[in-house]
Amino acid sequence: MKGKRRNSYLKKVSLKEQLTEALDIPKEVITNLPVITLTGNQEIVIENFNSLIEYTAQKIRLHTKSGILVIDGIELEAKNMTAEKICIKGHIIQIAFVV
Amino acid sequence: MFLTLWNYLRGYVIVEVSGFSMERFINLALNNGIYLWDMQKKDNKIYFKTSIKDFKRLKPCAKKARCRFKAHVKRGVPFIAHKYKRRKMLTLGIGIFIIMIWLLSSFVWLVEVEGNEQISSMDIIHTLEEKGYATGKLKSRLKLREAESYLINKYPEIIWTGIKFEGTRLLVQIAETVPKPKMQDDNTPCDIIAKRDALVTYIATYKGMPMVRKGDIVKKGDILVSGQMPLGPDDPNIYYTGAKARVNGRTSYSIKGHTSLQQLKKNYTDNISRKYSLKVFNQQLTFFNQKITFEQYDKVITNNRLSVTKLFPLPFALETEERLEYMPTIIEKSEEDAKDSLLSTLWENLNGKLAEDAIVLKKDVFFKKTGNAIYATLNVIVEEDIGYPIALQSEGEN
Repeated sequence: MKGKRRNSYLKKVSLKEQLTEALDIPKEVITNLPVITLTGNQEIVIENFNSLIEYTAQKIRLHTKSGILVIDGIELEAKNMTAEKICIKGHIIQIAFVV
Repeated sequence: MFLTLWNYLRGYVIVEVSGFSMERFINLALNNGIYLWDMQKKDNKIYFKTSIKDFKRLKPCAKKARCRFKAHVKRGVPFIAHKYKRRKMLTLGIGIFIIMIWLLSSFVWLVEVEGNEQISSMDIIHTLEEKGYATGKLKSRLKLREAESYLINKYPEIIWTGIKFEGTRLLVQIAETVPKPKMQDDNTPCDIIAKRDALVTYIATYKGMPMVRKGDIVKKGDILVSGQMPLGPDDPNIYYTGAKARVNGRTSYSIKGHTSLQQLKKNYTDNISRKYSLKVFNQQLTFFNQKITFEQYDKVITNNRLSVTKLFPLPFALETEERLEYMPTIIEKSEEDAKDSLLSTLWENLNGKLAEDAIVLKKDVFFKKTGNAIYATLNVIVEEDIGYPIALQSEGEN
């Protein structure tokens, strides 16, 4: 079951992606992939996330289309958030995708 | 910064969420289009801020996620307004305050003059006062453009005025003409008359008909050079021209003055008696007055006008009257010193009267001592320009 899922993440060279590449459209518009913007280690903005899994001051986990995004840090705080966009401030130590 | 202010104006709630699946609650809220900001986690509780409208929509989400939430702090203008809704007198007070400010600022409380050099500010203020442009008048009643033209007509020296309101201040800006040059316009007919009684020592006429000759004695007001000229040697008809000439004359000045040998010197002591009073319009309200325990004193009055910033002077002034005690002592001056100082003041007086290029030919000083006073007479004979152009009045007849 788990192996199958991992496969589905890696196999993503789908029709949609081929189309966006052919038409030169920004990928995130069609494929709904998260756009992550980092400002040093102080601020991270994630667009196109699905949901929040865990929220503490040290660790924030977000469910995105590319997998689970884990942000480790100190005194993390969501400055503002809507259904599409979350802006997190604090001292960021590491960012990782966990599949 | 602006966002915070905007949020404060709209009002927001700091929500405290506790329970098992707080993340699910957040997700549900986000999916319902609720905007959250400043989310923090402390002691297994999540705190976030949200607007009042969104706060009311949180309830179904909490039910679904089985979370408990409550308003931790309510902040912003709507909550404050709600709090003070019942206090009617306060709102009334605020209203009265605003109306008072508005009413008071619709009057003129100070008239200021700028840019005047020759005309004194007080003169201008008084002339404006005669026409009703004074302190205490309603701003909307004053027609500034009329006041401007009135001022220009009243004072020939003023070539431009700009009157405007600056807060509760009526600012009168003035541009004066440069003093009229002595040299007359050739086209305006004029005579040259004598400034003083004099003995003419030199006369050079450039234009006009000379009426005096060197060696003549003229009286003040005599015509030295006339602007009326015959058209030709045989033509008795006359035409008018602007006379132009240089006339030097020997004139005498006599200046008298006196001084006292005894002079009063004020030795100020440290004793001060003060009086504070509030001046409202022209009424004086004394609220603190120290007794005067001494006989001889000088008064120093300081006026502090109260104002809301520089632009909004108010009709109130704080007046401080200080009475400084002094001990009078009489100093005897030596006769020589007194004479010297008297003479120098006399010379100063004289210099103000003389023409610029005057040459002093002879001077005599007489001192006379009577009692404690010294009287002095300074007689000076000078040679100076005595001509003074004066426009011809009969211009219209020609």
